[in-house]
Amino acid sequence: MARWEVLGRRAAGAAWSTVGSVHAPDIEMALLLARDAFFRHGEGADLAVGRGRLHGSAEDPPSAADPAPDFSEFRVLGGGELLRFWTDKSYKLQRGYAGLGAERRRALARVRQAGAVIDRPRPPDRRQRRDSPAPAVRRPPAPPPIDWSDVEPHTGLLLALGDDDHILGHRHTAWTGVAPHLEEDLAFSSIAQDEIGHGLVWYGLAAERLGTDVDATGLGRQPDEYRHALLCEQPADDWAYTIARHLLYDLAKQVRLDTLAESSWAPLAEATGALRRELRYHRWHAEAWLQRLAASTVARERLIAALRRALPEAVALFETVPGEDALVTARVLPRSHRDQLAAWFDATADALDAAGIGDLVDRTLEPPSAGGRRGLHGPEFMIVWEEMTALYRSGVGER
Amino acid sequence: MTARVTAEAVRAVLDTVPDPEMPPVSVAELGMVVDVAVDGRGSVRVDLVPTFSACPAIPVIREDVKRAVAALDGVSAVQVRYVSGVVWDPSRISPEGQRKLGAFGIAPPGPAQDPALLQIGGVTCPTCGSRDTVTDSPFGPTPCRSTHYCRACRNPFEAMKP
Repeated sequence: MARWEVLGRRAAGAAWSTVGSVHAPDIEMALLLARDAFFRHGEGADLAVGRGRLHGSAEDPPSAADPAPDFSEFRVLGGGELLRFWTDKSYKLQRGYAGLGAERRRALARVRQAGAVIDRPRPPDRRQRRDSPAPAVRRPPAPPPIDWSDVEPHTGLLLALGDDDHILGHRHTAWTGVAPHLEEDLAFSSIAQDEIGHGLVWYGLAAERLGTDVDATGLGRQPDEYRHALLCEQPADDWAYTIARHLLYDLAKQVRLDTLAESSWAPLAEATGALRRELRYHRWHAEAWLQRLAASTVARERLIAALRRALPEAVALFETVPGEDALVTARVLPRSHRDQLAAWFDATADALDAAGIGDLVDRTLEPPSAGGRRGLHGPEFMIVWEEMTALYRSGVGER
Repeated sequence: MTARVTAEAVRAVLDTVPDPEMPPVSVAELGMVVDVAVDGRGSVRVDLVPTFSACPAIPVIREDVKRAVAALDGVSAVQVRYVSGVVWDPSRISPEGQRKLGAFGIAPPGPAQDPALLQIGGVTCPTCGSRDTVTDSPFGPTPCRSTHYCRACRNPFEAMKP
Protein backbone atom coordinates (compact mmCIF):
# COMPACT_ATOMS: atom_id res chain seq x y z
CA MET A 1 0.00 0.00 0.00
CA ALA A 2 1.34 3.40 -0.96
CA ARG A 3 2.37 6.08 1.46
CA TRP A 4 0.91 9.51 0.78
CA GLU A 5 2.37 12.74 2.08
CA VAL A 6 -0.19 15.10 3.56
CA LEU A 7 0.17 18.85 3.15
CA GLY A 8 -2.04 21.49 4.69
CA ARG A 9 -2.38 25.23 4.93
CA ARG A 10 -4.13 27.41 7.46
CA ALA A 11 -5.79 29.72 4.95
CA ALA A 12 -6.20 29.93 1.22
CA GLY A 13 -3.01 31.43 -0.23
CA ALA A 14 -0.98 30.70 2.90
CA ALA A 15 2.13 28.55 2.71
CA TRP A 16 1.75 24.81 2.59
CA SER A 17 3.37 22.74 5.27
CA THR A 18 3.73 19.01 5.64
CA VAL A 19 1.56 17.63 8.41
CA GLY A 20 2.18 13.89 8.16
CA SER A 21 1.48 10.91 6.00
CA VAL A 22 -1.15 8.23 5.51
CA HIS A 23 -1.16 4.78 3.98
CA ALA A 24 -3.85 4.26 1.38
CA PRO A 25 -4.43 2.25 -1.79
CA ASP A 26 -5.52 5.24 -3.88
CA ILE A 27 -5.72 8.99 -3.78
CA GLU A 28 -9.40 9.18 -2.83
CA MET A 29 -8.86 7.04 0.21
CA ALA A 30 -5.71 9.02 1.04
CA LEU A 31 -7.71 12.26 0.99
CA LEU A 32 -10.35 10.73 3.20
CA LEU A 33 -7.85 9.39 5.73
CA ALA A 34 -5.85 12.63 5.70
CA ARG A 35 -8.99 14.60 6.40
CA ASP A 36 -10.01 12.33 9.27
CA ALA A 37 -6.53 12.06 10.75
CA PHE A 38 -5.30 15.64 10.49
CA PHE A 39 -8.16 18.03 9.71
CA ARG A 40 -11.18 16.75 11.56
CA HIS A 41 -11.35 19.74 13.88
CA GLY A 42 -11.00 22.29 11.13
CA GLU A 43 -7.23 22.70 11.48
CA GLY A 44 -6.76 24.11 8.01
CA ALA A 45 -8.45 25.58 4.97
CA ASP A 46 -6.94 23.25 2.39
CA LEU A 47 -5.35 19.88 2.49
CA ALA A 48 -3.50 17.99 -0.16
CA VAL A 49 -2.09 14.53 -0.53
CA GLY A 50 0.57 13.43 -2.92
CA ARG A 51 2.76 10.47 -3.64
CA GLY A 52 6.45 10.87 -4.25
CA ARG A 53 9.50 12.43 -2.68
CA LEU A 54 8.81 13.95 0.68
CA HIS A 55 8.70 17.65 0.09
CA GLY A 56 8.69 20.54 2.49
CA SER A 57 11.76 20.08 4.62
CA ALA A 58 13.11 23.19 6.34
CA GLU A 59 15.63 23.75 3.52
CA ASP A 60 13.13 23.15 0.79
CA PRO A 61 9.72 24.45 1.90
CA PRO A 62 6.72 23.82 -0.33
CA SER A 63 5.61 27.04 -2.05
CA ALA A 64 2.05 28.23 -2.39
CA ALA A 65 2.34 28.22 -6.17
CA ASP A 66 3.90 24.83 -6.57
CA PRO A 67 3.54 22.85 -3.38
CA ALA A 68 4.77 19.54 -4.65
CA PRO A 69 6.69 19.59 -7.89
CA ASP A 70 8.03 16.10 -7.46
CA PHE A 71 4.80 14.32 -6.68
CA SER A 72 3.69 11.86 -9.31
CA GLU A 73 0.06 12.16 -8.24
CA PHE A 74 -1.28 15.13 -6.35
CA ARG A 75 -4.67 16.48 -5.40
CA VAL A 76 -5.88 19.37 -3.32
CA LEU A 77 -9.09 19.27 -1.28
CA GLY A 78 -9.97 22.96 -1.07
CA GLY A 79 -11.79 24.93 1.63
CA GLY A 80 -15.37 24.49 0.47
CA GLU A 81 -14.83 20.87 -0.43
CA LEU A 82 -13.14 20.18 2.86
CA LEU A 83 -16.12 21.49 4.79
CA ARG A 84 -18.57 19.69 2.58
CA PHE A 85 -16.95 16.39 3.38
CA TRP A 86 -16.92 16.78 7.10
CA THR A 87 -19.12 14.29 8.81
CA ASP A 88 -21.96 15.88 10.69
CA LYS A 89 -21.23 15.33 14.37
CA SER A 90 -23.84 17.72 15.72
CA TYR A 91 -25.33 14.93 17.80
CA LYS A 92 -22.14 14.86 19.85
CA LEU A 93 -22.84 18.34 21.18
CA GLN A 94 -25.29 19.34 23.87
CA ARG A 95 -26.96 21.75 21.48
CA GLY A 96 -27.46 18.83 19.10
CA TYR A 97 -30.44 17.96 21.27
CA ALA A 98 -32.15 21.31 20.64
CA GLY A 99 -35.61 20.79 19.27
CA LEU A 100 -35.91 17.27 20.62
CA GLY A 101 -38.92 18.23 22.73
CA ALA A 102 -40.76 19.55 19.69
CA GLU A 103 -39.82 16.45 17.74
CA ARG A 104 -41.17 14.27 20.53
CA ARG A 105 -44.42 16.19 20.63
CA ARG A 106 -44.76 15.72 16.89
CA ALA A 107 -44.06 11.99 17.23
CA LEU A 108 -46.63 11.78 19.99
CA ALA A 109 -49.22 13.54 17.83
CA ARG A 110 -48.51 11.07 15.04
CA VAL A 111 -48.90 8.17 17.45
CA ARG A 112 -52.17 9.58 18.78
CA GLN A 113 -53.46 10.21 15.29
CA ALA A 114 -52.80 6.59 14.44
CA GLY A 115 -54.79 5.69 17.58
CA ALA A 116 -55.25 2.08 16.65
CA VAL A 117 -51.54 1.44 16.92
CA ILE A 118 -51.62 1.95 20.63
CA ASP A 119 -54.98 0.29 21.19
CA ARG A 120 -54.05 -3.03 19.69
CA PRO A 121 -51.00 -4.83 18.36
CA ARG A 122 -49.92 -3.98 14.87
CA PRO A 123 -50.96 -6.72 12.42
CA PRO A 124 -48.02 -8.80 11.29
CA ASP A 125 -46.47 -7.47 8.12
CA ARG A 126 -46.60 -10.39 5.75
CA ARG A 127 -46.84 -8.65 2.40
CA GLN A 128 -45.82 -11.21 -0.18
CA ARG A 129 -45.28 -11.02 -3.88
CA ARG A 130 -48.32 -12.62 -5.42
CA ASP A 131 -46.35 -15.15 -7.48
CA SER A 132 -44.29 -16.42 -4.57
CA PRO A 133 -45.87 -18.73 -2.05
CA ALA A 134 -45.84 -17.50 1.52
CA PRO A 135 -43.05 -19.18 3.46
CA ALA A 136 -44.21 -21.70 5.98
CA VAL A 137 -44.11 -20.14 9.43
CA ARG A 138 -43.74 -22.62 12.21
CA ARG A 139 -46.03 -21.38 14.93
CA PRO A 140 -46.13 -22.70 18.45
CA PRO A 141 -49.59 -23.69 19.62
CA ALA A 142 -51.38 -20.50 20.66
CA PRO A 143 -51.14 -20.15 24.42
CA PRO A 144 -54.27 -19.28 26.35
CA PRO A 145 -54.67 -15.49 26.49
CA ILE A 146 -53.32 -13.93 29.67
CA ASP A 147 -55.13 -11.15 31.44
CA TRP A 148 -52.01 -9.17 32.28
CA SER A 149 -53.81 -6.61 34.41
CA ASP A 150 -55.24 -9.28 36.65
CA VAL A 151 -52.36 -11.60 37.52
CA GLU A 152 -51.93 -12.84 41.07
CA PRO A 153 -49.73 -10.76 43.43
CA HIS A 154 -46.52 -12.86 43.14
CA THR A 155 -46.52 -12.48 39.37
CA GLY A 156 -47.57 -8.83 39.61
CA LEU A 157 -44.54 -8.13 41.79
CA LEU A 158 -42.26 -9.84 39.24
CA LEU A 159 -43.77 -7.78 36.42
CA ALA A 160 -43.21 -4.54 38.36
CA LEU A 161 -39.58 -5.52 39.03
CA GLY A 162 -38.98 -6.60 35.45
CA ASP A 163 -40.69 -3.58 33.90
CA ASP A 164 -38.68 -1.09 35.98
CA ASP A 165 -35.37 -2.64 34.89
CA HIS A 166 -36.43 -3.25 31.30
CA ILE A 167 -37.92 0.17 30.55
CA LEU A 168 -35.10 2.04 32.28
CA GLY A 169 -32.53 -0.08 30.42
CA HIS A 170 -34.29 0.78 27.19
CA ARG A 171 -34.13 4.49 28.03
CA HIS A 172 -30.45 4.22 29.01
CA THR A 173 -29.63 2.90 25.53
CA ALA A 174 -30.39 6.36 24.13
CA TRP A 175 -26.77 7.23 25.02
CA THR A 176 -25.22 4.37 23.08
CA GLY A 177 -22.96 6.01 20.51
CA VAL A 178 -23.41 9.54 21.88
CA ALA A 179 -22.25 9.36 25.50
CA PRO A 180 -19.84 12.10 26.64
CA HIS A 181 -16.73 10.07 25.75
CA LEU A 182 -15.76 6.70 24.37
CA GLU A 183 -15.20 4.85 27.66
CA GLU A 184 -18.47 6.28 28.93
CA ASP A 185 -20.19 5.04 25.83
CA LEU A 186 -19.05 1.51 26.67
CA ALA A 187 -19.82 1.88 30.36
CA PHE A 188 -23.34 3.22 29.97
CA SER A 189 -24.20 0.79 27.19
CA SER A 190 -23.01 -1.99 29.48
CA ILE A 191 -25.23 -0.70 32.29
CA ALA A 192 -28.20 -0.46 29.92
CA GLN A 193 -27.53 -4.04 28.81
CA ASP A 194 -27.38 -5.15 32.44
CA GLU A 195 -30.72 -3.49 33.25
CA ILE A 196 -32.43 -5.20 30.33
CA GLY A 197 -30.79 -8.48 31.40
CA HIS A 198 -32.09 -8.02 34.93
CA GLY A 199 -35.54 -7.41 33.49
CA LEU A 200 -35.19 -10.77 31.74
CA VAL A 201 -34.41 -12.50 35.03
CA TRP A 202 -37.69 -11.28 36.56
CA TYR A 203 -39.63 -11.93 33.35
CA GLY A 204 -38.23 -15.48 33.31
CA LEU A 205 -39.74 -16.16 36.73
CA ALA A 206 -43.05 -14.53 35.74
CA ALA A 207 -43.20 -16.43 32.45
CA GLU A 208 -42.68 -19.71 34.27
CA ARG A 209 -45.65 -18.98 36.55
CA LEU A 210 -47.84 -17.96 33.64
CA GLY A 211 -46.79 -20.78 31.30
CA THR A 212 -45.65 -18.37 28.60
CA ASP A 213 -42.24 -17.18 27.35
CA VAL A 214 -40.06 -14.20 28.27
CA ASP A 215 -40.62 -12.43 24.95
CA ALA A 216 -44.38 -12.45 25.42
CA THR A 217 -43.91 -11.29 29.00
CA GLY A 218 -41.52 -8.48 28.22
CA LEU A 219 -42.84 -7.35 24.84
CA GLY A 220 -46.30 -8.80 24.33
CA ARG A 221 -48.33 -6.51 26.53
CA GLN A 222 -50.41 -3.41 25.88
CA PRO A 223 -49.05 -0.12 27.26
CA ASP A 224 -51.45 -0.06 30.19
CA GLU A 225 -50.42 -3.58 31.15
CA TYR A 226 -46.86 -2.49 32.02
CA ARG A 227 -46.18 -1.80 35.69
CA HIS A 228 -43.01 0.31 35.81
CA ALA A 229 -42.75 3.57 37.75
CA LEU A 230 -42.86 6.94 36.02
CA LEU A 231 -39.13 7.53 36.60
CA CYS A 232 -38.15 4.71 34.25
CA GLU A 233 -40.01 5.93 31.18
CA GLN A 234 -38.76 9.53 31.06
CA PRO A 235 -36.60 10.35 28.04
CA ALA A 236 -32.83 10.39 28.51
CA ASP A 237 -32.12 13.57 26.56
CA ASP A 238 -30.04 15.30 29.23
CA TRP A 239 -26.90 13.87 30.78
CA ALA A 240 -27.42 15.49 34.18
CA TYR A 241 -30.94 14.05 34.40
CA THR A 242 -29.68 10.68 33.16
CA ILE A 243 -27.07 10.58 35.93
CA ALA A 244 -29.53 11.82 38.57
CA ARG A 245 -32.01 9.13 37.61
CA HIS A 246 -29.30 6.45 37.37
CA LEU A 247 -28.15 7.32 40.91
CA LEU A 248 -31.63 7.47 42.46
CA TYR A 249 -32.75 4.31 40.71
CA ASP A 250 -29.73 2.26 41.70
CA LEU A 251 -29.98 3.42 45.32
CA ALA A 252 -33.62 2.28 45.23
CA LYS A 253 -32.62 -0.95 43.55
CA GLN A 254 -30.12 -1.61 46.33
CA VAL A 255 -32.88 -1.22 48.97
CA ARG A 256 -35.16 -3.41 46.86
CA LEU A 257 -32.66 -6.22 46.28
CA ASP A 258 -31.49 -6.16 49.91
CA THR A 259 -35.16 -6.58 50.86
CA LEU A 260 -35.90 -9.35 48.36
CA ALA A 261 -32.74 -11.25 49.35
CA GLU A 262 -34.61 -12.01 52.61
CA SER A 263 -37.74 -13.17 50.80
CA SER A 264 -39.44 -16.33 52.02
CA TRP A 265 -40.01 -17.21 48.36
CA ALA A 266 -36.78 -18.97 47.34
CA PRO A 267 -36.74 -18.22 43.58
CA LEU A 268 -37.08 -14.50 44.31
CA ALA A 269 -34.37 -14.50 46.99
CA GLU A 270 -32.02 -16.57 44.80
CA ALA A 271 -32.40 -14.23 41.84
CA THR A 272 -31.03 -11.32 43.86
CA GLY A 273 -27.58 -12.92 44.22
CA ALA A 274 -26.22 -12.19 40.74
CA LEU A 275 -28.14 -8.92 40.51
CA ARG A 276 -26.65 -7.56 43.71
CA ARG A 277 -23.15 -8.47 42.53
CA GLU A 278 -23.73 -6.61 39.25
CA LEU A 279 -25.42 -3.63 40.92
CA ARG A 280 -22.12 -2.80 42.66
CA TYR A 281 -20.73 -1.67 39.30
CA HIS A 282 -23.76 0.50 38.58
CA ARG A 283 -23.49 2.18 41.96
CA TRP A 284 -19.78 2.72 41.54
CA HIS A 285 -20.48 4.35 38.18
CA ALA A 286 -23.36 6.53 39.40
CA GLU A 287 -21.44 7.74 42.43
CA ALA A 288 -18.30 8.49 40.39
CA TRP A 289 -20.39 10.71 38.09
CA LEU A 290 -22.20 12.30 41.03
CA GLN A 291 -18.87 13.36 42.50
CA ARG A 292 -17.51 14.54 39.17
CA LEU A 293 -20.54 16.69 38.35
CA ALA A 294 -20.87 17.98 41.91
CA ALA A 295 -17.27 19.21 41.88
CA SER A 296 -17.91 21.41 38.85
CA THR A 297 -19.80 24.73 38.67
CA VAL A 298 -22.19 24.69 35.70
CA ALA A 299 -22.54 20.91 35.82
CA ARG A 300 -23.31 21.11 39.53
CA GLU A 301 -26.23 23.48 38.96
CA ARG A 302 -27.59 21.28 36.20
CA LEU A 303 -27.19 18.20 38.37
CA ILE A 304 -29.06 19.81 41.27
CA ALA A 305 -31.88 20.90 38.95
CA ALA A 306 -32.02 17.36 37.54
CA LEU A 307 -32.10 15.84 41.03
CA ARG A 308 -34.96 18.14 42.02
CA ARG A 309 -36.86 16.92 38.99
CA ALA A 310 -36.02 13.23 39.43
CA LEU A 311 -36.54 12.92 43.19
CA PRO A 312 -40.37 13.11 43.18
CA GLU A 313 -40.44 10.81 40.14
CA ALA A 314 -38.21 8.30 41.95
CA VAL A 315 -40.55 8.25 44.96
CA ALA A 316 -43.06 6.56 42.64
CA LEU A 317 -40.79 3.50 42.63
CA PHE A 318 -42.22 2.83 46.08
CA GLU A 319 -45.87 2.72 45.11
CA THR A 320 -47.46 -0.39 46.62
CA VAL A 321 -47.92 -3.35 44.30
CA PRO A 322 -51.39 -4.90 43.99
CA GLY A 323 -51.88 -7.40 46.81
CA GLU A 324 -48.95 -5.97 48.77
CA ASP A 325 -50.41 -6.67 52.23
CA ALA A 326 -50.64 -10.39 51.54
CA LEU A 327 -47.10 -10.44 50.10
CA VAL A 328 -45.73 -8.67 53.18
CA THR A 329 -47.59 -10.96 55.59
CA ALA A 330 -46.22 -14.02 53.79
CA ARG A 331 -42.76 -12.38 53.83
CA VAL A 332 -42.52 -12.80 50.08
CA LEU A 333 -41.89 -9.07 50.31
CA PRO A 334 -40.21 -8.84 53.72
CA ARG A 335 -40.42 -5.05 53.87
CA SER A 336 -43.36 -3.01 52.60
CA HIS A 337 -42.68 -0.37 49.98
CA ARG A 338 -43.41 2.27 52.60
CA ASP A 339 -40.56 0.93 54.76
CA GLN A 340 -38.31 0.62 51.73
CA LEU A 341 -39.04 4.26 50.91
CA ALA A 342 -37.79 5.34 54.34
CA ALA A 343 -34.57 3.36 53.81
CA TRP A 344 -34.15 4.93 50.37
CA PHE A 345 -34.64 8.45 51.77
CA ASP A 346 -31.77 7.74 54.20
CA ALA A 347 -29.48 6.24 51.55
CA THR A 348 -30.18 9.09 49.13
CA ALA A 349 -29.61 11.79 51.74
CA ASP A 350 -26.29 10.12 52.65
CA ALA A 351 -25.14 9.88 49.03
CA LEU A 352 -25.99 13.52 48.27
CA ASP A 353 -24.41 14.64 51.49
CA ALA A 354 -21.20 12.73 50.71
CA ALA A 355 -21.00 14.56 47.37
CA GLY A 356 -21.53 17.93 49.09
CA ILE A 357 -24.86 18.53 47.33
CA GLY A 358 -26.80 19.24 50.50
CA ASP A 359 -30.22 18.16 51.64
CA LEU A 360 -32.54 17.90 48.65
CA VAL A 361 -34.56 14.99 50.02
CA ASP A 362 -38.12 15.94 50.89
CA ARG A 363 -39.36 13.20 53.18
CA THR A 364 -42.95 14.36 52.93
CA LEU A 365 -43.16 13.14 49.32
CA GLU A 366 -45.61 10.29 48.87
CA PRO A 367 -45.75 7.70 46.09
CA PRO A 368 -48.97 7.77 44.06
CA SER A 369 -51.72 5.51 45.34
CA ALA A 370 -52.53 4.43 41.79
CA GLY A 371 -49.70 5.03 39.31
CA GLY A 372 -47.32 2.98 37.23
CA ARG A 373 -47.80 -0.20 39.25
CA ARG A 374 -51.45 -0.12 38.16
CA GLY A 375 -50.74 0.56 34.53
CA LEU A 376 -50.97 4.34 34.52
CA HIS A 377 -48.23 5.90 32.45
CA GLY A 378 -47.38 9.23 30.88
CA PRO A 379 -47.45 9.99 27.16
CA GLU A 380 -43.69 9.40 26.98
CA PHE A 381 -44.26 5.72 27.51
CA MET A 382 -46.28 5.43 24.30
CA ILE A 383 -43.17 6.35 22.35
CA VAL A 384 -41.02 3.89 24.29
CA TRP A 385 -43.62 1.17 23.89
CA GLU A 386 -43.99 1.71 20.14
CA GLU A 387 -40.25 1.50 19.59
CA MET A 388 -39.56 -1.28 22.07
CA THR A 389 -42.25 -3.67 20.89
CA ALA A 390 -42.26 -2.91 17.15
CA LEU A 391 -40.14 -5.91 16.16
CA TYR A 392 -42.03 -8.29 18.41
CA ARG A 393 -45.39 -7.11 17.08
CA SER A 394 -44.19 -7.44 13.48
CA GLY A 395 -43.74 -11.17 14.05
CA VAL A 396 -40.26 -11.15 12.46
CA GLY A 397 -38.00 -13.85 13.88
CA GLU A 398 -40.87 -15.64 15.53
CA ARG A 399 -39.70 -18.77 17.25
CA MET B 1 -26.14 -51.73 21.85
CA THR B 2 -25.07 -48.25 22.85
CA ALA B 3 -22.88 -47.42 25.79
CA ARG B 4 -24.52 -46.00 28.88
CA VAL B 5 -23.64 -42.33 29.29
CA THR B 6 -22.08 -41.20 32.58
CA ALA B 7 -21.90 -37.81 34.32
CA GLU B 8 -18.12 -38.00 33.91
CA ALA B 9 -18.46 -38.35 30.15
CA VAL B 10 -20.80 -35.34 30.07
CA ARG B 11 -18.42 -33.26 32.16
CA ALA B 12 -15.56 -34.27 29.88
CA VAL B 13 -17.42 -33.06 26.81
CA LEU B 14 -18.36 -29.78 28.57
CA ASP B 15 -14.63 -29.22 28.90
CA THR B 16 -14.49 -29.02 25.10
CA VAL B 17 -17.38 -26.56 24.54
CA PRO B 18 -15.73 -23.18 23.91
CA ASP B 19 -17.02 -19.93 25.35
CA PRO B 20 -18.28 -17.97 22.30
CA GLU B 21 -16.60 -14.73 23.41
CA MET B 22 -13.33 -16.30 24.64
CA PRO B 23 -12.93 -19.43 22.52
CA PRO B 24 -9.66 -20.72 24.00
CA VAL B 25 -11.52 -21.35 27.28
CA SER B 26 -14.31 -23.88 27.73
CA VAL B 27 -17.57 -23.18 29.55
CA ALA B 28 -16.51 -25.76 32.15
CA GLU B 29 -13.15 -24.08 32.72
CA LEU B 30 -14.95 -20.76 33.18
CA GLY B 31 -16.90 -22.33 36.04
CA MET B 32 -20.28 -22.06 34.35
CA VAL B 33 -21.28 -25.68 35.03
CA VAL B 34 -23.19 -26.02 38.30
CA ASP B 35 -24.49 -29.56 38.05
CA VAL B 36 -24.75 -32.54 35.72
CA ALA B 37 -27.41 -35.21 36.23
CA VAL B 38 -27.77 -38.39 34.19
CA ASP B 39 -30.53 -40.95 34.60
CA GLY B 40 -30.55 -44.64 33.64
CA ARG B 41 -32.36 -44.00 30.34
CA GLY B 42 -29.69 -41.65 28.95
CA SER B 43 -31.52 -38.45 29.77
CA VAL B 44 -29.06 -35.68 30.71
CA ARG B 45 -29.66 -32.44 32.55
CA VAL B 46 -26.97 -29.75 32.67
CA ASP B 47 -27.32 -26.79 35.05
CA LEU B 48 -25.36 -23.68 34.13
CA VAL B 49 -24.79 -20.25 35.62
CA PRO B 50 -24.02 -17.25 33.38
CA THR B 51 -21.05 -14.98 34.17
CA PHE B 52 -23.35 -11.94 34.06
CA SER B 53 -27.18 -11.91 33.96
CA ALA B 54 -27.20 -9.84 30.78
CA CYS B 55 -24.60 -11.91 28.93
CA PRO B 56 -25.75 -11.97 25.29
CA ALA B 57 -24.07 -15.35 24.80
CA ILE B 58 -26.52 -17.12 27.15
CA PRO B 59 -28.70 -18.68 24.40
CA VAL B 60 -25.66 -19.49 22.24
CA ILE B 61 -23.98 -21.36 25.08
CA ARG B 62 -27.21 -23.23 25.84
CA GLU B 63 -27.40 -24.48 22.24
CA ASP B 64 -23.67 -25.30 22.06
CA VAL B 65 -23.87 -27.35 25.25
CA LYS B 66 -27.02 -29.11 24.09
CA ARG B 67 -25.43 -30.03 20.76
CA ALA B 68 -22.19 -31.28 22.31
CA VAL B 69 -23.94 -33.44 24.90
CA ALA B 70 -26.48 -34.82 22.42
CA ALA B 71 -23.60 -36.06 20.25
CA LEU B 72 -22.40 -38.37 23.03
CA ASP B 73 -23.10 -42.08 22.72
CA GLY B 74 -26.08 -43.25 24.73
CA VAL B 75 -27.72 -39.84 25.23
CA SER B 76 -31.46 -39.88 24.60
CA ALA B 77 -32.46 -36.40 25.76
CA VAL B 78 -30.68 -33.23 26.89
CA GLN B 79 -32.04 -30.46 29.06
CA VAL B 80 -29.90 -27.36 29.68
CA ARG B 81 -31.04 -24.96 32.40
CA TYR B 82 -29.71 -21.73 33.80
CA VAL B 83 -30.10 -21.76 37.56
CA SER B 84 -30.23 -18.74 39.82
CA GLY B 85 -29.24 -20.28 43.15
CA VAL B 86 -25.53 -19.91 42.37
CA VAL B 87 -23.73 -16.62 41.78
CA TRP B 88 -20.87 -16.76 39.34
CA ASP B 89 -17.66 -15.05 40.26
CA PRO B 90 -14.13 -15.47 38.91
CA SER B 91 -13.11 -17.81 41.73
CA ARG B 92 -15.12 -20.41 39.78
CA ILE B 93 -12.56 -20.31 36.94
CA SER B 94 -10.35 -23.41 37.05
CA PRO B 95 -6.54 -23.04 37.22
CA GLU B 96 -6.34 -24.32 33.66
CA GLY B 97 -8.99 -21.80 32.62
CA GLN B 98 -7.03 -19.01 34.28
CA ARG B 99 -3.89 -20.03 32.40
CA LYS B 100 -5.69 -20.12 29.05
CA LEU B 101 -7.39 -16.77 29.69
CA GLY B 102 -3.99 -15.24 30.47
CA ALA B 103 -2.55 -16.61 27.24
CA PHE B 104 -5.57 -15.07 25.44
CA GLY B 105 -4.74 -11.68 27.02
CA ILE B 106 -7.39 -11.63 29.74
CA ALA B 107 -6.26 -11.59 33.36
CA PRO B 108 -8.25 -13.10 36.21
CA PRO B 109 -8.90 -10.45 38.88
CA GLY B 110 -5.94 -9.65 41.09
CA PRO B 111 -5.47 -10.40 44.78
CA ALA B 112 -5.44 -6.76 45.89
CA GLN B 113 -8.97 -5.84 44.93
CA ASP B 114 -11.35 -4.35 47.41
CA PRO B 115 -14.82 -5.52 46.39
CA ALA B 116 -16.50 -2.73 48.35
CA LEU B 117 -14.68 0.03 46.52
CA LEU B 118 -14.19 -1.83 43.27
CA GLN B 119 -10.59 -0.78 43.17
CA ILE B 120 -9.68 -3.41 40.65
CA GLY B 121 -6.00 -2.92 41.35
CA GLY B 122 -3.09 -5.31 41.53
CA VAL B 123 -4.29 -7.26 38.52
CA THR B 124 -1.39 -9.16 37.03
CA CYS B 125 -0.57 -8.09 33.49
CA PRO B 126 -1.10 -11.11 31.21
CA THR B 127 1.63 -9.85 28.86
CA CYS B 128 4.60 -9.24 31.20
CA GLY B 129 3.43 -10.49 34.60
CA SER B 130 3.85 -7.14 36.36
CA ARG B 131 1.42 -6.05 39.06
CA ASP B 132 2.10 -2.38 38.37
CA THR B 133 -1.23 -1.97 36.59
CA VAL B 134 -4.13 0.47 36.75
CA THR B 135 -7.83 0.13 35.94
CA ASP B 136 -9.03 2.06 32.91
CA SER B 137 -12.68 1.18 33.25
CA PRO B 138 -14.74 -1.50 34.97
CA PHE B 139 -16.83 -1.67 31.78
CA GLY B 140 -15.05 -3.58 29.05
CA PRO B 141 -16.07 -5.21 25.77
CA THR B 142 -18.37 -7.71 27.48
CA PRO B 143 -20.30 -7.32 30.75
CA CYS B 144 -17.89 -9.66 32.58
CA ARG B 145 -14.66 -7.91 31.53
CA SER B 146 -12.90 -4.71 32.67
CA THR B 147 -10.08 -2.83 30.93
CA HIS B 148 -6.63 -2.13 32.43
CA TYR B 149 -3.26 -0.66 31.56
CA CYS B 150 0.14 -2.04 32.50
CA ARG B 151 2.63 0.64 33.52
CA ALA B 152 5.54 -1.78 33.24
CA CYS B 153 5.15 -2.98 29.64
CA ARG B 154 2.70 -0.22 28.58
CA ASN B 155 0.15 -2.61 27.18
CA PRO B 156 -3.60 -2.28 27.61
CA PHE B 157 -5.28 -5.52 28.66
CA GLU B 158 -8.55 -6.93 29.98
CA ALA B 159 -9.47 -8.79 33.14
CA MET B 160 -12.45 -10.76 34.42
CA LYS B 161 -14.42 -8.51 36.80
CA PRO B 162 -14.46 -9.51 40.47
